[in-house]
Amino acid sequence: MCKKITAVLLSIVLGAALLTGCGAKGAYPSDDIEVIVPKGAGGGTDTSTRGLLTYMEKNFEGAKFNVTNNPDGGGITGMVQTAEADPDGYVLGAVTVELDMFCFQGKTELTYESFDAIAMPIGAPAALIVQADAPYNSIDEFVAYCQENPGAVQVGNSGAGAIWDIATYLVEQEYGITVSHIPYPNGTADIAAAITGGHIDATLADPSSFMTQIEAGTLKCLGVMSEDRMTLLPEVPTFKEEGHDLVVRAWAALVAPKGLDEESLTALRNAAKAAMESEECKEYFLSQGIEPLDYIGDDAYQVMADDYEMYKKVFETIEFAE
Amino acid sequence: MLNNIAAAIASAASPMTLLLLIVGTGAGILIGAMPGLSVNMGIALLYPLTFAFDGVQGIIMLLGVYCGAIYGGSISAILLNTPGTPASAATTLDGYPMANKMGQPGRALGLSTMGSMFGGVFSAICLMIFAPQLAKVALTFSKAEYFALALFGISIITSVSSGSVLKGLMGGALGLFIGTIGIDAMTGKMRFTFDSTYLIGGISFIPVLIGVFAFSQVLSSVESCYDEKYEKKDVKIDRVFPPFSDLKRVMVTLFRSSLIGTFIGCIPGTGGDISSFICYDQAKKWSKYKENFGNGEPEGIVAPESGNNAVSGGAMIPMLTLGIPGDGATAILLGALMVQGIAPGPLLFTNQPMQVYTIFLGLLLANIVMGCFGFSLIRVFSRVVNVPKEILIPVIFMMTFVGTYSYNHSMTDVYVMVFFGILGYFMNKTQFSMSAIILGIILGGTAEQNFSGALMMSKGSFSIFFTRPICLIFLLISVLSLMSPLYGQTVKKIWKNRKENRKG
Amino acid sequence: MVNMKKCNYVISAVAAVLGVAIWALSAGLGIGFKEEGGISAGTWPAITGGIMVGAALILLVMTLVNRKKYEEMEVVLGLPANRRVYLVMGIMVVYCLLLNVLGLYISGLILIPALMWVLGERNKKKTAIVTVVALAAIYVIFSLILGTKLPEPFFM
Repeated sequence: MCKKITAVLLSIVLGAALLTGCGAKGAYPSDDIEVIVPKGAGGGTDTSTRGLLTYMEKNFEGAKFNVTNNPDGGGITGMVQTAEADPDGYVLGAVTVELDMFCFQGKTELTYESFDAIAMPIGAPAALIVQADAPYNSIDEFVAYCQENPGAVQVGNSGAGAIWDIATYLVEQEYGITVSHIPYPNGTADIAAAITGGHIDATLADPSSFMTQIEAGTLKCLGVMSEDRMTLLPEVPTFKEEGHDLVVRAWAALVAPKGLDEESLTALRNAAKAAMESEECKEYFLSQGIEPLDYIGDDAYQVMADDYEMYKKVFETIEFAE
Repeated sequence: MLNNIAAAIASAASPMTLLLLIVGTGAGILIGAMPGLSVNMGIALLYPLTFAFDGVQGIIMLLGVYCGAIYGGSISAILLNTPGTPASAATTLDGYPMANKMGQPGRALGLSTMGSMFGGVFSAICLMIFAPQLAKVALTFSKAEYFALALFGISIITSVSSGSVLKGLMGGALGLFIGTIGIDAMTGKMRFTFDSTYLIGGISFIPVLIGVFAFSQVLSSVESCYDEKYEKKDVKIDRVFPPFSDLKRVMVTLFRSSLIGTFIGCIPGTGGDISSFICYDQAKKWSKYKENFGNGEPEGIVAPESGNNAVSGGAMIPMLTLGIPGDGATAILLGALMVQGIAPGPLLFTNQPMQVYTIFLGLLLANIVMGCFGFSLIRVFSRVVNVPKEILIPVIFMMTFVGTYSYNHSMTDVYVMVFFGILGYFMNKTQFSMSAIILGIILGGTAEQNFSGALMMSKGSFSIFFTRPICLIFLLISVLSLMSPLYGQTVKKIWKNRKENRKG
Repeated sequence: MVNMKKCNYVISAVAAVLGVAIWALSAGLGIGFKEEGGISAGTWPAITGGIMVGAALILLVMTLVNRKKYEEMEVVLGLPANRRVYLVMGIMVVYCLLLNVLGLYISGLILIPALMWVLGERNKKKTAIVTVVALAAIYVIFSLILGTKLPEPFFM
């Protein structure tokens, strides 16, 4: 009698496991969708992706997203995981601007062409941030100071060869100045601590980690490397306005591995569109210090392609310190 | 101001908040106890729930998860010699011997719960009173100081190597080397990656931790339970709260470790793992019962546990006063606060005092609830030692696999875990110390990056390390600590002679 | 009979070889200080390699000097108890490979009873109950509550 019960129990468990495994696939999505974020929890990429997904769930019948963070290697492993997953719509991922850079740095063969873009919720521009009592109040004054003191101004970045470091090189190239590059591998929060504490002089980085200090008046932002002025910092001019066409943004895009069927892709894109256009989503982003974008589908893909071309040129022309 | 405090108490002590707190802390303890599930994961998981609640209530739930998870790791550390979180690795050193060799799991759990609760409450009070001052101290830490602190952490290898100090150094060097695999963030170069995508990301820390502690431990259990007759150990526990004799013994350690933990917590980028080892080391150095460390010494349990929970209050300091998160968990907390319209930073205390007081009270309550949870569950948890090995061992094996896989969904992580587990089994037999390897992995990156970065800031001049007071102090302590096995014997003899001279 | 002396020789040898290998690889990355400050990528790994080689040499010397003491310390590697451990290690490696092919639950159905049998459990009913309960608990906690993905069979 007991044997029978055990046998029945065993087959129930086995059956349940098999069923979940098979994922009796009905209409998309009929199962949880895994989203791989190639950055640590709490950062800009993670926050914006999770935010977008939360609001997408509200606009997408039956969808449930499970986010996993895989920040190893600056995000390479996470992005590769997404690219290599089955394009069945149940594994999505976020990719960041580094995708357009790693291929030129010999770190991977992966390019943006391995993905189908869904949406791009964030594109944080590099912002020139200095201490409030610094002797320069505009981009040009800062540049002049750097010209008088070559190599003395210490500019923080989030890692050698990473995006903010490249932004610094671009500024050096454009204005003909030399500054000292100081990497802070643990992210922009460390840079914020260093500038506030007076250990370095400036940084070119995503302003969201510095917003609290900027609003409190301990730090000031002199310029942003974006197409238009930021809603979060309306008095700060863009580098473009000041006559230097420098646009460097750390974007993160929600993507699917290439080959996802039209129907599912369109469904995801529509959900993302509805989410990003909703007031709640925009408010959420602003509250986190993130400037909300609304690139969907092909627009997002275009940004990825444009930046790919830009970094191709960058890595061919700029000599990085060995 | 009194109005604000009253309103804060009303908000923090409301039934809904308390309910959320209990749920959060309970979830936190469970997440912490399971190797492979981390504090950050727990907070990230429960974070969306905070959207449903207005104001600080959801935040208080997350605080419960935060404190609970740091404490939960000690449960598996003591009962199974397997740290549930990296911050409890040091607790295995004396917690497991007390539970296993001495047969007193209840006492060990009681000490650990009390230590955690004390550390958490202490740091919450420091947060309330000294937040702005401690924040200023945190800001003075630059790369040179971080390097000196990391070096000090590495020097502890000689102290935690219960077997042979030489092999401890070897293990530490191995850990340091493992930490270098991957992309060097200071130069952008790839090191030791051999064209493997996995290695570009570096060897993940958690699989190594689980392998080296849990997997090797359970392999040892397979060996030790051969021919062992099943004896039901008498684990009747009359009191869960530690007896007065224990309390007296560990009182000084409690305060010292909580102080160290709070301080380390308020330095951005350092966490419970570094704090617990430093507190263990300091407790050992200043204790009357040095030789008992590693064999189930109460101080050896209380020190790391209060040290790692004290980090919770400390980490809130830069997060609240400067808007700068110290680690992944506080970064999510920061985001959660901002969603609710609370803006951490220099203006927080002046603009939104009531919310600030509520958060303070929330942290205090979270630690107390955690303590209550812990004490009430001790009787249940101690029963684990009576589970027959034939059942326990396969279950733990499954746990290591599932835990490792759920960390990054990577089969390679699982292979790494098994490899280090098997390696760890043989290393344990030949007197290597697993804690030394772990310390190397945790601190290697910090030490190198800050050494290199400090030199970048000083343009190659070494004077930067000797002209900054805090850095110099830590460097001296590190050197003394590294050399301690050499002169430890001589110092003891000198003390003994002095004592005898005085008597005579 | 394996004693600590022999083990120490092996350990010294392995550590020394590893240390030298690390040196060789680090040299390719560049060892030393950079002009504008900072260290080259290979410096820190070279230091760790150096510590390993140094510790290996000291261990060798100490073992040679204290031969008697180390000979007396026995390292238990050959008892039946150990053989059981090696068997379990083998099972684990096989399980890793099975995970890829059969997924977590099916492999678990094989692994848990296998382990329990090796550990001496012969009561089939008990084995079955433990297996079912353990797998069910994993399903509930990890799949349902946490929603994490677990290895799936290749035919799914």
